[in-house]
Amino acid sequence: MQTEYKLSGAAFLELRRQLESRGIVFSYCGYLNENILTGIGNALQSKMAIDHTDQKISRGIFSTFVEQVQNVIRYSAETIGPEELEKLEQETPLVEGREINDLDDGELRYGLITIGELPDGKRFVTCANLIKNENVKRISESLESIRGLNRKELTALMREHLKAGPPEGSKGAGVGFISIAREANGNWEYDMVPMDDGEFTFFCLEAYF
Amino acid sequence: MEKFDIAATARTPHMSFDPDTGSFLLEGESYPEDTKKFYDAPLSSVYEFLDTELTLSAVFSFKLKYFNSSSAKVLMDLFVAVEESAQRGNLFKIEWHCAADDDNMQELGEEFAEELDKTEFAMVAF
Repeated sequence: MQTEYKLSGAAFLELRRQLESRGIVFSYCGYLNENILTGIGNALQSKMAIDHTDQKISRGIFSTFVEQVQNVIRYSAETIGPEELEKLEQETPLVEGREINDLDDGELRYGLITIGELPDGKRFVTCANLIKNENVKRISESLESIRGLNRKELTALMREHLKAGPPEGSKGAGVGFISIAREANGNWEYDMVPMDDGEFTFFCLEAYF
Repeated sequence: MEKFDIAATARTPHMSFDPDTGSFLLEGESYPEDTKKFYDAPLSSVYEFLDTELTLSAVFSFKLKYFNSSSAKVLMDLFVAVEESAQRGNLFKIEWHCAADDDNMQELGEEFAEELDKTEFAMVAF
């Protein structure tokens, strides 16, 4: 027997209030792709322009937002699409003129992104996604290695890494974390919450402005 | 080695190059959906130009308001290639334009310029 579902406006309002109580102004939880990035990014820029947010702060927030969302799109372990896409790639002979990447747009990766303001006026950009347990050590070490570095040091480090080229398995320049830490002038935190399944970890990264 | 002029979009910069006058321009914001796809084809023309062994002169102008880390990689590779070509005798100049109050962009330009020796570098405020 199926339980009858009834919409509860009160419960939904409660969800909104929970977000507001944490100072969250923008939130997205679900499958992300580049179009979502563009859309939320535009709204975020408009909101900051309307609020007359300091130019330097709004540039830092926007830049961090882009890097965070692109991290989810590239690396979240919770994804739909790739198996189906891989199968298609193998089965379909490459049609002339079509690049393999053309199908990648169909891939979706799950993540959370929130942007808001703390009671003391400090703004935050937080992003979270599942990662495989086997990657926890690598990501933690990579973040620990840049902890405490200031903007100038991070800028120099970014150049070194860009020059050296991306590490194996990277789909970008391999400097996303350095770039976020740099924009936030070293004011950032991260946390890892192991999931019950023993396979995944909930990885959160927050930058302050 | 073809001349090109690509208009800006919301996420990609205005990019132009003319091998006859030796002028390259990258202007606006750069956080493409697919960085490789956006830059690879047009920049191959610029790289071909940089490979030329004649004594050429050229000005590479960057007027960026924002770029993401994948684009930073493209810029770094280009700076390195320009410098390598300059070391072979080509007369190159890189102009890094940024808003007078934008220390972020200024710092990034200065950092990239660390790669340069034979290439003339100028920071230009707008």
